[in-house]
Amino acid sequence: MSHKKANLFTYDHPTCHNFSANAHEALLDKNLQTQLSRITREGFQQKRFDAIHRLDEGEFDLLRDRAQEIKTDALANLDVYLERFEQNVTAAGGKVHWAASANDAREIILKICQDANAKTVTKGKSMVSEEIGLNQYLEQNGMRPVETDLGEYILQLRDEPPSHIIAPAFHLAKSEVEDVFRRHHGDLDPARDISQPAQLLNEARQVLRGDFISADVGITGANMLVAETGTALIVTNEGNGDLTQSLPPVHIALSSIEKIVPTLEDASTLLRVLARSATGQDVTVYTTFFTGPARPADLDGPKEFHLVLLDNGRSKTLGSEFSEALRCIRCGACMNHCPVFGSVGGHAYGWVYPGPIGSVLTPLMVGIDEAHTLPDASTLCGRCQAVCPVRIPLPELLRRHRVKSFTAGKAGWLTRVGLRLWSFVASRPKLYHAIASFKVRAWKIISGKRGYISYVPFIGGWTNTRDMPSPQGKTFMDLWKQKNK
Amino acid sequence: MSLNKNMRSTIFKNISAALDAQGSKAAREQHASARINARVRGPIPNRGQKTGAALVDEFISEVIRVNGEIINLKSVAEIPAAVMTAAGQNAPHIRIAPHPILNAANWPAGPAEINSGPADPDDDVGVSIAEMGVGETGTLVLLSGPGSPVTINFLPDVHIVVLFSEDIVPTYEDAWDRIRKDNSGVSVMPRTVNWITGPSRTADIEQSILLGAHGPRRLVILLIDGKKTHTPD
Repeated sequence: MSHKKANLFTYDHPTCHNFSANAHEALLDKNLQTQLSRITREGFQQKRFDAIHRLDEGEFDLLRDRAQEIKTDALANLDVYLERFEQNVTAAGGKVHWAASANDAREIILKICQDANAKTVTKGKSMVSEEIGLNQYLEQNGMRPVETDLGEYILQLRDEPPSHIIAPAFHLAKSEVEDVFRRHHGDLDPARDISQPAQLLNEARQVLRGDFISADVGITGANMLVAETGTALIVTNEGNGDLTQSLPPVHIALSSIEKIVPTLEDASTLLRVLARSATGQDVTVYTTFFTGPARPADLDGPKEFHLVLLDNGRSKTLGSEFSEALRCIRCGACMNHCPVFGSVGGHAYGWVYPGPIGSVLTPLMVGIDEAHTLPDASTLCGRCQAVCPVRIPLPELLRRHRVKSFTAGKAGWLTRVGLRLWSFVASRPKLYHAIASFKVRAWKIISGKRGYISYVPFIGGWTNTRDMPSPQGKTFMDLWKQKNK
Repeated sequence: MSLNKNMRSTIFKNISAALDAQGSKAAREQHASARINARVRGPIPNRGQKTGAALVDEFISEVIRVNGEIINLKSVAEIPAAVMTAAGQNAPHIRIAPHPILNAANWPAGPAEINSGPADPDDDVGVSIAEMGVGETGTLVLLSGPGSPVTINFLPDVHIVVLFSEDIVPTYEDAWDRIRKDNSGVSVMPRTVNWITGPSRTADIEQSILLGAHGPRRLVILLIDGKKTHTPD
């Protein structure tokens, strides 16, 4: 029984093309708006700010400069670092699998699960697994994947995709969580009180214990891959990722090729900016560096270790004008500070990665035909770039997408005609000046004594909720000429 | 698996196509080796540069800030009593790591049942030995191995960790140096290096922070004054 909204995307059915309608619906969703308001007030923005100010003045910017340098170096030497990483994983007794496409990654993972005679597969939170639609695929092939991150678990029960890359269920009210727990945990006492977050957490903890213990395979993501030692790492707060990777006999880590860093020192620098940018913690509760399977003398830990490395277009992006997007360490700061994301949430973007970085990545992954709406879903205000821990020039990358989609003929007729008209006028200074001075005089007269205009044709969406302040009656050029007389 | 080989070569072909314009692969190899061997540290925040008593104080205040608990001990002889006190009355199953220090301790005969080895789901309390502590963020560093099963760190409700004050280092990079040194200069890692900073938590429901998610609800550090000594078996 699915209770999700009919228009929600899945990994293979994006709804980016519907951004306008999605956004409209999100703006009218009162519950979503309440949850969104928490991001700024007491949530991620404030916490990031506080974390940065627990460091000495200027230190965070020095860390960001270094973080940018590390990722730039890693990408500029990507093949040799990946080779080194693979050698070291193999030397530690693990196996690296290369997956060119989402489908390749799914097949590789299914094969490993089948070889292990797996039934129950526990999962730590992994955005790459969302990118490849892993859960659906495992289910279709007779496995029972169980999300163990609290937010992901709630979403799995609701059959919904995440709406944020680090806080996947932030769009839900606690009453909605209670609702879905009551529907799915049918064998528990119907009279129990689970109205509070702590009670909901406790219930999930109890229910998931059994799955942690009985799982045949554990799948986690990896936030970084360290070439020096063949080590991968995950950052978590709940501890579910560690139970997932230490209890079952087989551990699969699913990651993507751009997550590589050269050394443990480099990983440490990136960790100093990652949690501060994401949740506003100095460091997450658990940072786990894992290398290969259990050693012969170890008393626990997986007997088999597989690392699946996904490309899915990234190696092509490397040589493109969008290569800087590959620096992304998935902290979510850009979406937490984006006025558009803050108004419509993550689902409106219509695919796995929302917000500014999503609007850059999604067209590269699902194609510009589907996703040409996303680069337009930005005011290019630049807050995303200002907070990015690896200084990705997100507004510039969005602008490049706009140029590409315009050239490919994706813009509507109004935009095309408008731009052509504007460029015709703008390249003829006398004409431009004549029109501009007519316009400011006309607007001044129309607005009269009020000093504002309440409706302007073509920008009704803007003037519906705001008044257009009226111009003073003279253009800058007029004033300039007057002054120089 | 030939499929795997084909995909690998496709991916690497694309990467070379992008990078070869900037220089040869041999040049990249040389650069990467030099960078990995140099292991240059990034900027270390001032709070990661304390020493002596200030370092221990910083570690303690950072642990408390993230809701960890600290109990100061004078010697390893005090470990069993401190564990019993921290565990409280409702902890019938206590799991200790099979580490020489814990094996040699004088554990009481009851009422709690005390077992050594990896954790199982019935354990209420787990006790392990930290390799190091990091002052910068109040982080414990635990290395998996025969004397430190990783499941003890995550499965029981209460995690009690023994840490010696002289094992507190200023910053993460110092911890890496020591892990490498213990492996005679070569970067051979144990299966897991666990950084643990406070008890488990989540903010997944309405962004409100709750302690005790899937991992331990409490993290208690028994901070012993001095240097780690391995009592003979």
